[in-house]
Amino acid sequence: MRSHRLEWSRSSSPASVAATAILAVAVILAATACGTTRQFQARSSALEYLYPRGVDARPPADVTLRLPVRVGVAFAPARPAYHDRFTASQKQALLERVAAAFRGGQGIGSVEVIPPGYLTLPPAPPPGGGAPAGGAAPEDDGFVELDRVKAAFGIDLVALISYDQMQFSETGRSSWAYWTIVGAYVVKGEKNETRTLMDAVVYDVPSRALLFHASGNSTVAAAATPVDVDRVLRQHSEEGFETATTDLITNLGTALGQFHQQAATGTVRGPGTPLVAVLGPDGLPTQGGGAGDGSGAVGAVELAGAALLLLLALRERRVAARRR
Amino acid sequence: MTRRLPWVTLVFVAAAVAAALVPMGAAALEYDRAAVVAGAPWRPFTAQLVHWGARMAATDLGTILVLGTLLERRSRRAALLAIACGLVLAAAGLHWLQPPVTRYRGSSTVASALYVALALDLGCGARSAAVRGGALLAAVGFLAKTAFEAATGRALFAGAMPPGVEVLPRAHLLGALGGAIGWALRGRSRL
Repeated sequence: MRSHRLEWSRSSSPASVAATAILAVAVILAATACGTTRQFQARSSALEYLYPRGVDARPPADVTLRLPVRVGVAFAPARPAYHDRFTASQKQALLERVAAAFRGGQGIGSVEVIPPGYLTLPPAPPPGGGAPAGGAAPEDDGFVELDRVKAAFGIDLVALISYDQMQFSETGRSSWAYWTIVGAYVVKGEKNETRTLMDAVVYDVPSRALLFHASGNSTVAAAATPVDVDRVLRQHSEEGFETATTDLITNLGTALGQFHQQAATGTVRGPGTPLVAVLGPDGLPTQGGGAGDGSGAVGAVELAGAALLLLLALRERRVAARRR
Repeated sequence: MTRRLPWVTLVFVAAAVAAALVPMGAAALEYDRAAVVAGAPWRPFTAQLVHWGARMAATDLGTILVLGTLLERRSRRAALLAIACGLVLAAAGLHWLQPPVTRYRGSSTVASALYVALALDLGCGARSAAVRGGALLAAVGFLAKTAFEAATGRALFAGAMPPGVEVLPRAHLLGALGGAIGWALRGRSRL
């Protein structure tokens, strides 16, 4: 740089002035780019789908699970977004992975994949909040659509998967060196990071009760040359969803086990949450499936007491007859 | 004690037998908290007519038949009031007392009501002192046992239940209290 400055001070020809100007612009642009972060986000939210803004949330009712339960797995619908790299075929493949992991599990009869596109978001709320555009009625929450999906697929429970993937493409110091001095293809690269969070909520559709939830996440970070950024980000996006899904499946298994234990105490998630009764195929409560199932049954003590009262009543009758 | 037909007891037992014979009758009449909340307020009462199995039904209804017949021959009014009060108290306790019950079946509430009412009737009205003492002892023993069960939440000497079903001691206690109240309300009528 020092030699450049020396040349500038000595030269004043039009060509050198132009070169100096171009270099100055390049330096300014590079300086502006230093530390700049580009972000791409892809997201869908089960909460937004089930309880859209402007629609009153209906309280959940008590839950009756008849084993084996039939489960549907679906992605919560996402609003169309620029640069959403999560394709429908990817979603379908990940749903198949989740479904396969739980087929044949304890108390699970079948796991159906609800293809992406079967669930749709309600109209977006107008700016400033309030009821959704198009005059959505208060009962236009996602559960109305889930009721239809339940009928169509014959499911009892639905596992709705939300995702949130953020991709950062950060220009670092090496890029500064690249733009100002070296050349386009020699730099160490840009620092790219992809963070993926997936969250599954499992609802009992008839009662609208949240049974349990689990999440999985992943972080993928690597360098890439600027010309490769898009390809690498796409690759990282896929890798992020794959890894987060693996994590999600593990955590879902843990959450399911905890739900089994919790259901045995008679409530979905402890005091104050909906009651849960777990029934077998014969309609009778399963072992440990909801301590809220009760019976009034005459036991040995009552039978002995009743026999004593019978004897006393007969004796009283004899006494009365004798006195007559 | 007269030899008149104990029709109050017989009507109750006949209704329970009919509910057991009708297909899906038990499921339609059992206490189901969700169904009650959704608008079936009769279920806490009709749950006391249905059972989880034939053996349980035979034990409950057999006990009711014996105790009801004995009490009704002494005082039909006492039997009627004991059954009514036992049903109402147990139904209220099923729905409102903690911990919550999801589903319930069983007639032992009524059996408990009749037991206590008969024991009190014999204990207070028998001519023989031995009968009076024995009956009062039976009443106190029964109330103490059900109170202990309700406090600990654990039934003593209960028979086998279907998997996942537990005997609900508070139902027995409330039925017994209902029987005592019904007997106290009978007045002096010997109807």
